[in-house]
Amino acid sequence: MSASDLRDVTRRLVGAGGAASEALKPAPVKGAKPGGVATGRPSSGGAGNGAMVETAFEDREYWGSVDFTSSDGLFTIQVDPIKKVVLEGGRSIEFKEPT
Amino acid sequence: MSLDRHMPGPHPLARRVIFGNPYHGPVQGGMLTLPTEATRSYPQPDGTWPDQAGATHLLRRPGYPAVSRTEEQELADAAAGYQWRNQAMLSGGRQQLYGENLDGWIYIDPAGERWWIRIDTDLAATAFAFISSLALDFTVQRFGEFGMGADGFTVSKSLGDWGQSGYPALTDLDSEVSFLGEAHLVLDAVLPAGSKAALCVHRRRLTSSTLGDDTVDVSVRHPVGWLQIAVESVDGLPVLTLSVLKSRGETLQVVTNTRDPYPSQTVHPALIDLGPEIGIQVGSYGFEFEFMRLVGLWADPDADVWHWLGLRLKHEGTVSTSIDTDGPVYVVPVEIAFDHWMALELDGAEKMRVATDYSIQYERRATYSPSGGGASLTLGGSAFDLSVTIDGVSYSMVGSPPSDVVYPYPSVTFVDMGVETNPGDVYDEPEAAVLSMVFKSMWRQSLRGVLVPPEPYRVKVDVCRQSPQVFTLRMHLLSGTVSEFVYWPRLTPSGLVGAKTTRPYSASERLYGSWCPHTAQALSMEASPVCWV
Repeated sequence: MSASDLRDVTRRLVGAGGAASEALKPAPVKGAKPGGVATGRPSSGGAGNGAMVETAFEDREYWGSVDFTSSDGLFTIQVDPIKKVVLEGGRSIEFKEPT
Repeated sequence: MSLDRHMPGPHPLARRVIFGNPYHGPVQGGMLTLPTEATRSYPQPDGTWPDQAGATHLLRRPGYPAVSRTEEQELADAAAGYQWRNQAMLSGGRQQLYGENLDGWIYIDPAGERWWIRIDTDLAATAFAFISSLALDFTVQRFGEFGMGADGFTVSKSLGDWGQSGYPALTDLDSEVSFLGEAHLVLDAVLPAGSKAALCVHRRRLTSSTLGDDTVDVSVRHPVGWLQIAVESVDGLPVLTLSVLKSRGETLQVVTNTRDPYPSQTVHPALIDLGPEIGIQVGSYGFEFEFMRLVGLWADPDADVWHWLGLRLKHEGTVSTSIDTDGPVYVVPVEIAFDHWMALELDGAEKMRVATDYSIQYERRATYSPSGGGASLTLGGSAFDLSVTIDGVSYSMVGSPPSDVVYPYPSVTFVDMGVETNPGDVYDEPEAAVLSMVFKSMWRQSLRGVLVPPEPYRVKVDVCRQSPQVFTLRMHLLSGTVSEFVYWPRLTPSGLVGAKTTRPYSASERLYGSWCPHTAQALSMEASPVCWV
């Protein structure tokens, strides 16, 4: 299998701009100025402008490890599904345990 | 393996769908043909030895669930030529998995852990002497666990008696094997979970690896036994056991080997007064030989069982002569009836057969001619009637009488039974049968060189191993100006495939095949190496 083949597999695996990109789209912030657009960068005022900014990678929490095995049962990747991302401003995003 | 370097890193929020290798199909000339008929570049499985080029071994994790795809995904898969499978296969002479040679196999233990059993001994380059103990080196390590340690270790296994001792020396009737005291090993079959692997102990017909040899398409291997490597899990680690699966005696079996004693010489009373005694053998002489030799084995896809391919050869006949005199002339009517067949069997059940029978009648004559102080004996004979059936086709002809040959008497010996069967040379010893992959049916009268052998007179039958999973019989028919190969349908683990095929004789012909353990599809009679992946 060539690298390009596996890139194809990877693209299929992560989807083409599907669930992942939708999940990361910032949620509307109540009370914000109508029509405001998040820049994705922290402003001088911190996260008070509604942008979702992660406090630190180390603050993430994960569910217990699960194995992701190839269709033929021969190859296994161990992954820790994301459980919680802590955001600046005292907020966080929690994710359900994958089933 | 390069697979380790290219594994995709799953996005933390991505939905898990599927991963693996969806590219499956036959590979020929370095191109993989997908179900859509589209082709893509793919490493050709190893074919250093032609009969291994199409080798396939099913690799399956016990109890692993079937692939589940939505209807939409199935449509997309079909359009792309993808086949997601819950099993794999090892391909070619070096057990290629997804483009990489394993030189061994994968053992899947009861917990589902995969272990790569690599044979470190270079089997293709190593000759093992029968008189010596046999030792093999292995490396065992975890397989397919990304991010985990290999837990690898090496192990050496040896056998003092590897099923080849205590037998007569192998013979070399056709000068085709240069080293009579040695054998080679090849990985021949693997159970799907890798709990057992079989190594064929064989000798090579060296000339078969040389283009231009007329036996190039036959099995280049003369099996004389099989070894087995069993793997079991002890405290979470694989433990290997090397043992004899089939000894030489079990591989080369003599079922029947009976011959009537030659009739003793008879001195015809009426001729005593003519001069010194003239001995002639008359009477009836019969023989029956039946040999069964194992030529291959297949792994059962669902059970811990090997299936054996056998070649059974039966050769029986009678030669009857009587004697009469007509003055100074001996008249010796000769009647010959031969029946030969050669069958390929799977677990003792016949799958294909090549049969020939012959019937010949003629008279020999010997005329004694006293002449002064000397004497001579004139040998001649009548025309002969020949009836031959070869693979169900009957031939008959009347042959020309032999020219008379005059010998000074009494130096001539006139004791031949009239037909050469070569029983002592070719069929007498099981070891000889090893080399007798070519079974020659031919006859000629005793006065060699005087009579031109009638035609059709000669049939050669070979076992062809187009892959370790694709076997067939091939008849080389020589009849007058015709010289052609007739291939029987090919036997695969899924049954017979293809039709009987006649091709012009070609000294350099080498045909290839391959069988897919997943779809049961088979390719055979291919002009270049082909292998399913």
